[in-house]
Amino acid sequence: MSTSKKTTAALNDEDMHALFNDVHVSIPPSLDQAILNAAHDAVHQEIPGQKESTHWSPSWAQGLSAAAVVVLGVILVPMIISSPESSLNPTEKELAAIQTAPSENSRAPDLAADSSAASSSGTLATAPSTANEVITNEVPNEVAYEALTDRVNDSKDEATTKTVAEMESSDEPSAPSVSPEFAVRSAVAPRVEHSVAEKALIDQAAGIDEDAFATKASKSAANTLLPEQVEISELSEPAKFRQSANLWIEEILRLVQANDMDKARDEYVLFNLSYPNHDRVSELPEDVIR
Amino acid sequence: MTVKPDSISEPDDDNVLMLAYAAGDAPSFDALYLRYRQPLYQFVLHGCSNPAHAAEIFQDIWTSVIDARTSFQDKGTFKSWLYRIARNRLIDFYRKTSNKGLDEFDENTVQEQVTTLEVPLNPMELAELNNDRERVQSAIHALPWRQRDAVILKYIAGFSLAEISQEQGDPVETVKSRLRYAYTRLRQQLRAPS
Repeated sequence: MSTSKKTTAALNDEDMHALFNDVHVSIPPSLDQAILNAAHDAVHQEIPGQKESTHWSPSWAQGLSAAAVVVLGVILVPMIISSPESSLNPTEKELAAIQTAPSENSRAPDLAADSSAASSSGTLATAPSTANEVITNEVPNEVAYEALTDRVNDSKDEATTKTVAEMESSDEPSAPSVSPEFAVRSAVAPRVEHSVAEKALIDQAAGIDEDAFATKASKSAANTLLPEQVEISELSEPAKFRQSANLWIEEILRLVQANDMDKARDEYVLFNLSYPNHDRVSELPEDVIR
Repeated sequence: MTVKPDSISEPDDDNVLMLAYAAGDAPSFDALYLRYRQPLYQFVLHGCSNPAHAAEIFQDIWTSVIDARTSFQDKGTFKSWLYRIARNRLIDFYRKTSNKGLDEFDENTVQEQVTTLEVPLNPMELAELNNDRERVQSAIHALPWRQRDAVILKYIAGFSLAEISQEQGDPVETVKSRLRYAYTRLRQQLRAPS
């Protein structure tokens, strides 16, 4: 600062300072007004128009983006559709339509007939297991169990009879041929798959001479039920007592006390298969054991 | 939209005001305008010596400030930025209206027969000149461009020698000698009978 003052003093310009100090020039008021209006207008116009400046994108970038979307669409979509893992695979699609048939029984024969004409046997072999997934989810095991016991005692159940007859006549239960009957079986499958398996066991336990049928039926059950499904059916609520011999015996005793002797006998048969010569069997009434 | 000086607070930093205006705060511009309108108008008026042209250039300068608000950066000072715009407009005006080049009659290019020992103006002379501003403006207008530029930068815009040196792109000593020549010329012209 002192240097600056020295320099100024050296310039000997005090008269120049005095000449320009305190000089006021009048600015036209209209000029002030025009400038301030312009400044305010510029700001107020910028706020709605600001997006335009921030959204700057060259035209080639927009074109490139559009082209990229089109190319990806053209290349990737067919790849995804034709992928074997894709749910959009046409064959899988048809099968899914057949497998969800329980509520669409009237459509099933047509679809089955169509698929038999169009699909290979390898693809069709996957149908039963997939169908069982649907069945397991849709039919609670408690209901299935009750249906089983009812059906065991009720020989007039047409669906079961028909299915059992088919199973008896079929040499390859795990790979059923696609026919109009397939749709019917899909329709009754929630009950059938369980009833076939368990009826076979019951019949075998009762000494009924249906060995061939029982073999086929157990094979069928083993083939159609996935491991996860077996586990689920065993651990599900109604079969919980079967996990323990004591609980099972108590359940049979409960059924006896409830005077539900048929169910008690059925449970005893199954119990005896799982726990042959169990000590607590002696606690059961003679009517049940017999 | 009248500017009321009392109602506008003046923050220390002009740059803050300018950045605020660039961000959309219109009152910040009002504050800046209020601060610089008088010295800038004087600067322009002494630069071109014509009130009609001065008003036009003055408006053009502020329009440039408004248009370039988003490009203003906080690197230099707003004052330097503003006066650079003003000087560029004045140079354009000088080139359009004068047949002289910017460097013509400059002390660096032409050896002028002027003495740097001219006696300063006395108070009586200054009082007379205060009542005759047109004479002062004419005397300034008669200066070669670079001298005129240095004088108005120093005494109207309030730039230091270093700042003038930076603006003009010349060493400080050159600016000093340029100013000495300018004083002598002004004193001679202002003492001369009208």
